[in-house]
Amino acid sequence: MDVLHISGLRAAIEDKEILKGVNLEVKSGEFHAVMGPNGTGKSTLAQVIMGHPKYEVLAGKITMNDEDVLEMEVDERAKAGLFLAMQYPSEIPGVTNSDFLRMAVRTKMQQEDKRLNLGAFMKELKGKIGDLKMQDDMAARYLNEGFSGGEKKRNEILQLLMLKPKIAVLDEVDSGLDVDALKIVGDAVNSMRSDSFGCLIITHYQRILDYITPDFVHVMMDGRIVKSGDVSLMKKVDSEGYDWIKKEKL
Amino acid sequence: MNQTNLALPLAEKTNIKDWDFENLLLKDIPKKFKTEFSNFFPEDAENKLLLEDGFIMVEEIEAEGITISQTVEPVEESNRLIALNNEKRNSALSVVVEKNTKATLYIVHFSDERSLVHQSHIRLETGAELELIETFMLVGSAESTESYNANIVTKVDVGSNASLNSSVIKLAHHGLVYQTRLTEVHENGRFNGTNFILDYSDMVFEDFAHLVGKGSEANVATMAIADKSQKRNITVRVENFAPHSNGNIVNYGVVKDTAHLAFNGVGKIHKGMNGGDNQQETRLLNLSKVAQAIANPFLLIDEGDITAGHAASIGQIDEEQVYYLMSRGLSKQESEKLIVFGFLAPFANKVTNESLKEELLESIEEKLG
Ligand SMILES: Nc1ncnc2c1ncn2[C@@H]1O[C@H](COP(=O)(O)OP(=O)(O)OP(=O)(O)O)[C@@H](O)[C@H]1O
Ligand SMILES: [Mg+2]
Repeated sequence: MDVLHISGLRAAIEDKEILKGVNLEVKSGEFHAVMGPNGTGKSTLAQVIMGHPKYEVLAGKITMNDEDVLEMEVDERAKAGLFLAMQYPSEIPGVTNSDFLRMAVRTKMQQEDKRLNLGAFMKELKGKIGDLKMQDDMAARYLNEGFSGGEKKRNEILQLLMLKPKIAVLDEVDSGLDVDALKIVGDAVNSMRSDSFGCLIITHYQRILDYITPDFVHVMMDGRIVKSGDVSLMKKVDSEGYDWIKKEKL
Repeated sequence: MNQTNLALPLAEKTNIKDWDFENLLLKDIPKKFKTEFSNFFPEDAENKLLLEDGFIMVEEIEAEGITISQTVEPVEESNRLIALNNEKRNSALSVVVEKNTKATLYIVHFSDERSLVHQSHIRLETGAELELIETFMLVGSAESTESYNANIVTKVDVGSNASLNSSVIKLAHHGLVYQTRLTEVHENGRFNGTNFILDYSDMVFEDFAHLVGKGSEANVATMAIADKSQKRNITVRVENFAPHSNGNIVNYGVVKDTAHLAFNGVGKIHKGMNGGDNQQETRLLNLSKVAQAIANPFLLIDEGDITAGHAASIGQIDEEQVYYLMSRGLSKQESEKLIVFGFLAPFANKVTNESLKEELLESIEEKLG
């Protein structure tokens, strides 16, 4: 079993403290949802887990199976089995989606002492592009360049499906999707559910619940997880907002 | 002519005052067959020439209408280094493509025992079409990575309604190079020059095209990668000397380590040459904080009824992009390399010859380390 463990995590960007002591544990087999008002540090948490160079960790620990994640380079974190579907994925002109994915999948397979079979890779890629109802030319297009908001989100999920990480953080993959796309993405993420996969889903909307039922729901405010519960917490936030939690804390 | 009365090439933005162009190793050597050359050419190449240290070692021309010789008329001495070439020349090649002939020709210049002081004259008669792929592999002595300095002058004449696609590929060389080409394009003629400068030398590289015939066209695209302490100065100049002529310059450069790379792009439309067009674009990527990447575009226009423009950009590798790729498990080095390849893709995609493209991508990969 894989365990991503976060304790007492404080982090800053541009000398501004955003995370003020986050404690969280995600194990394989578990789906966690994180909600919270805009600007409370959800993406910051995701980026600090993955190792974005702009963030400075002030205190606390992140471990993956007891190994110190904060000591790892970004690619080492990926190799340790972490994945982040980004809220705002980068565009890489001139690099085709399929070339990039092939390199990423090959790197992963090398690590497992396996060799990439190009035919099998292309077949799997084509199949998953089909499953996600992405345009056929998505493999040949340059990575995220000129993709619409929804296409970018689907492309993040495509990478998730192809790379099969142990623990994934999905930062608002459900934002900006039309109803049909939401179903496709929701089903795709749900299809990953297994004893060997854990997931932290950052979201603003309970409509994702139509496809994915998280085992745990957390509310983040002002850089901390202030409340945890089950699906009923998500439903309550959806109907009542966050004010009641703020009041509770006062 | 006394060379010292003449000036060095302009090479703006690079101080070449102390560059030792005259330091040439010019010994006499016998013609002898040394290397297995066949692997320099694609398997399906029908017309091929290989010169080693100035001697023609391979000459296989299947097409009718191509005449090869080793005598050339000295070119006009517009600077000291061209005069030096006329005086010390140890290699020459003349290629004449007769009227309406269509062919593809591969030329490899190989030198390993002495400096190459070479002159090429390429002439396309009316209506001729030539695809010319010219590779310079100046390796120097096998024992060291030092190769000898080189001086290469090329004169090109594209006749009316003729069309030349010329790719110049520079590989391996470590010495100091002066390389210049002057192309004249006649009425409705077309010149597409593509330069891949991927060797290890310091150099002054000039590619000048004169559009002398009405409706003529020149497109000169140059890609250069400079790494380590390499210094290279590249000037591409296209001048409209005729009405309704079109010039287009595209430069792509990648600079690493402590290298210096200056691209001068000059477009000039002379008076009375109405209906002309002259465009240029330079894109540079600087991978280091201390390397120098310089884009120096000029447009000189003496005529009102024309279109012209230039664009230049110098960028760094975007950290967000590196982070994104690394988050998918690629190492920092792999990620940066992929981004550089992506940057060069619009240029590399212009190469339609697949075997050439593959070879180039390999050389680029090697160069990027
Ligand atoms: N470069 C920066 N300089 C200063 N502040 C920044 C910078 N980047 C982010 N922040 C701030 O950090 C805070 C947390 O941002 P973060 O993206 O983590 O929020 P979020 O919870 O993901 O919000 P949303 O729901 O809108 O996605 C915000 O107040 C944001 O303005
Ligand atoms: Mg966010």
